[in-house]
Amino acid sequence: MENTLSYIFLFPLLVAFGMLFIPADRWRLFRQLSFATVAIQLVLSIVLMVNFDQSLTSTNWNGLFQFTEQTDWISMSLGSIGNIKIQYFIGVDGISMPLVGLSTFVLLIGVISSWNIQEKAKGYFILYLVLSSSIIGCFIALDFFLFYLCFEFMLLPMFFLIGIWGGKNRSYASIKFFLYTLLGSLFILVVMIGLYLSVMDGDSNTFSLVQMLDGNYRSGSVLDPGSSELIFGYSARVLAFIFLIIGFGIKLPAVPVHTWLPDAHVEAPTPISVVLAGLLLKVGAFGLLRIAFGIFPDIAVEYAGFVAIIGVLSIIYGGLNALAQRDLKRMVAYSSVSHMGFVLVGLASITAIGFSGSFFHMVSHGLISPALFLIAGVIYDRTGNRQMENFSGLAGKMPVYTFFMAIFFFAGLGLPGLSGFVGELMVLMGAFGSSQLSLWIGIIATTGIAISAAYFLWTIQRMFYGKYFVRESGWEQNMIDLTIREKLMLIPLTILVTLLGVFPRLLLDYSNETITFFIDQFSRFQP
Amino acid sequence: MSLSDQLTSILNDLQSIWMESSLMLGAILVLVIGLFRPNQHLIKVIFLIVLIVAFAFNQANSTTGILMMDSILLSPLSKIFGALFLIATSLIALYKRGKDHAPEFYFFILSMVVGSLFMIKANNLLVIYLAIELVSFGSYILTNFSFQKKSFEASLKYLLFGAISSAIMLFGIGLIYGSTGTLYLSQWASFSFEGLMPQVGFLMLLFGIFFKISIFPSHVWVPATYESAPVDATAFMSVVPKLAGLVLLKHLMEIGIFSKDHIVYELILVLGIVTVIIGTLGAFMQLNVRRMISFGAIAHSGFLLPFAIMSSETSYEAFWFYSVIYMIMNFGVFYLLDEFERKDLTLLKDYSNSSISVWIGGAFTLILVSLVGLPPLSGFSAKFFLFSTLWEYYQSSNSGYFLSYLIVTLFATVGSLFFYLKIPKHIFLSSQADSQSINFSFSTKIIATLFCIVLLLLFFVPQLVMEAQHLLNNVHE
Repeated sequence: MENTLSYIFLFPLLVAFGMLFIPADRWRLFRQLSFATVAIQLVLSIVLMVNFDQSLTSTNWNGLFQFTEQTDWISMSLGSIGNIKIQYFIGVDGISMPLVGLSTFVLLIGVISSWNIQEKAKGYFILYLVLSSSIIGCFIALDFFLFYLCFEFMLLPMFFLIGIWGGKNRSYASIKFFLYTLLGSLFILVVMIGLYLSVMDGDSNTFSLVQMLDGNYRSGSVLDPGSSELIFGYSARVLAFIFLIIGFGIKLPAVPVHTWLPDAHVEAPTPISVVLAGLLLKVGAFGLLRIAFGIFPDIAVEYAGFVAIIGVLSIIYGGLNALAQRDLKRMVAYSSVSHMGFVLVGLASITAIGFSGSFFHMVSHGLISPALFLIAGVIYDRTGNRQMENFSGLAGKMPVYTFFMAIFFFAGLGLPGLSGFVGELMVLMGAFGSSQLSLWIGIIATTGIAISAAYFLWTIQRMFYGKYFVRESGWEQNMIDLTIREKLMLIPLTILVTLLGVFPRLLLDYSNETITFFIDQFSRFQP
Repeated sequence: MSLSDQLTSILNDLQSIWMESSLMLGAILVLVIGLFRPNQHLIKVIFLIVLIVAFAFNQANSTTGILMMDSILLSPLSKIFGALFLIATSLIALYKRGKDHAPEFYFFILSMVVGSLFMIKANNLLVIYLAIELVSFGSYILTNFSFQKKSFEASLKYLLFGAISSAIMLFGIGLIYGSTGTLYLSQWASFSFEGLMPQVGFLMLLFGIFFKISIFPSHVWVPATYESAPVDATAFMSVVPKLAGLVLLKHLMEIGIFSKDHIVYELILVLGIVTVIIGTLGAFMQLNVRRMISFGAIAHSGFLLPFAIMSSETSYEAFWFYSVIYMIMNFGVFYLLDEFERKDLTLLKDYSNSSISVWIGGAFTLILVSLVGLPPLSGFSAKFFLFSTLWEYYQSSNSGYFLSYLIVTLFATVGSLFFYLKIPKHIFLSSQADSQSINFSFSTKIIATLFCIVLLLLFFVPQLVMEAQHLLNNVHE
């Protein structure tokens, strides 16, 4: 198992570098190489998941991480700040391990979905592999600097992937995406500097997330819980927590900083939408979980209500927006906003079941939303159009397509037996059972499910029921049912969504010990 | 002190300015050889040899302290920046320069280096004045070195503005001399600067220095000048005189004539904040790429400014790091601009109307991303150290101005992304069907890639920059 995590992380980067030297006209080679690379990643991550010790317990964060690798990486001395030491420090716990598995799986779906890209294939697949490396890096980094590096390094490939291979309005969407996320990551940068100056490993400052989680603060430093220093009348820890909520909230995205998401999704090519919805949003949620809630448990308890309100706002506002959309992809994008609101509510409940629900919902949404974007992509590939009013009665013409559509729409609205239900149920149980949150949070969040049922069912009714009709006669000949490649992507997703729906322990066994320990950290601060 | 004693002491100290003397002699040599219309490569080679000789003198010189009748102050800071200026100047040789007026061009560049070196070593107000004037004269002339109507106009604007600011600075020097009775900076500490007259004089002196660093309100000449001057001159002007001004300012502030809570500090910080904002916002609407980068350079002046007034070890080292990285980034970006302009690509829309190879476009993007300050490029490290320094200084001084500076520079970083990104956007994202393909020579690609590799390398091994500082100072650990 030694170094396997590093292989998963760095292998795509290596292949991408190698691709630079392959002539651009051999476009088939690029997709084959990418497929092989991501497949190897998937196999390696399955090997790790099998070998992962689910029953590992510990009295501190340090003992919870498995497969850790640690070496010195960048070091430099700067004046009285002293030696700035950045480590190459990676490892996984019960939360990040399944997310690594999810990432490699979704990335593979993404490659299959990119199979027909011929135009500038070299650039596309190089950027795709760089992106996949940095996504994995975000989940496994145990050094804040490494995390930040990966977090930032997702932006540039994404900018070009949306901007070059995207739809009509792509350059606007890609710049908006870049600016929003960069703004968010600068908030994170400030907190990172503050944490670096406050947290010690032995007698020197450190970027190590493990030390930050374990709270080894230098007494009197700015983010030390005991410090009484105020900035603009607030304690530094409160400001840092709010900065992190803003920073990761943009990535999540939470209302009111979500507006980049619909644009980015609508303009992005299908495979990039798949990765964006399936993984990039999870990076935001994961950052909130690990960094905002993990490092600042005292403040998180205090401000849980605030986070919950943002979550509820996202659920309702995202849902209502989805209801109003006529573009299928835009509707799915807004449903993502709504679903990520559930993750926020689950976190804000600060209960074991709420946290598990958030985590489960992250994984489940990571499977459902790629499928939804693939389904939207099927229509778009055939007609170049996704306006709902242009289609009707597709059920008779494309039965297999309708079948998969139904599964994932119902998974999205939370039908029992599919994975979406489990996550939402656990989040709501957490919200109602929480001592932090008022009853209203849970009640309003529940109405969010009703809204999601409304937009999904309405869409089914408008596009799939009734008399068969497509707007333009030229589309007629293209309206064929799913191809083998499309089935190849949707069938594994269906299997996983059903499996997790009927047997959620498969996933929850991974996270149980970690989340139990995590919740323990809050108990000291809870009234 | 008798005349002969004075002469002896000057003779003894003369070795400390061999570097400047050799540069001046070399400049004349370049000019004289130019009379014989030699091969342009020969001029470049002589230019480089002059720089190498000067570099050797800089390294060989181990004396520090106040020399030359108290007019020159040699410090570790002036030594490392002296070396940096010579290295930066030598990068000009990478730029293509046609046959016309090459000897004169290098003559003026070398004399500007001399002026910049005296700026960072001056201990006497008159030396400061003369050094700044020497640099300015070179700049005025070089701005018009493409001999077009537009550059003539820019040069004239620059000259008029420069004349005014030099007059203001001279008046300020007069006021300071009138109230303290000394021209020597090292004697300032024993005089009171509390009266109105010396303080006003100091502010006027600052105005003149800000003119060189391009800080608001004396930044107005920058866009027109940077846009119209030959690109190699622009690259030089955006780095060497600017850093010289900053080092001079740092030197002035470190004499300690004002207490740490004096209003001068706040004034400088506020002007710096305004500079950052103006530079960033000004770049938004530009259509000419070089003009846009010039506004970015103004913003970078604002980023560099706080280093000059924070006197801590951290600030010293972070200043050095930022300066080195800034030098590399600016020479890189102007190098590519030069190559693009040689293919008649000057406006943003020209970029989208032509298909540019992914190699060059990618290298350009990386350099720009470094100017924004994103990892994994060393522009990020530079900004990261700036933020850390500001944060540390805020904690020790508890002055809200430093915190505000931190916040403004953070937001300006996002803002700068918006305009720097326009270039890759126009290169890659808005390609048109009938675009004509532009080919760059292999050497251009290699040089651009080298700039990128250095920027990447210094992100992963930032220690190299610090070790260079020790090495240049002959400190062995």
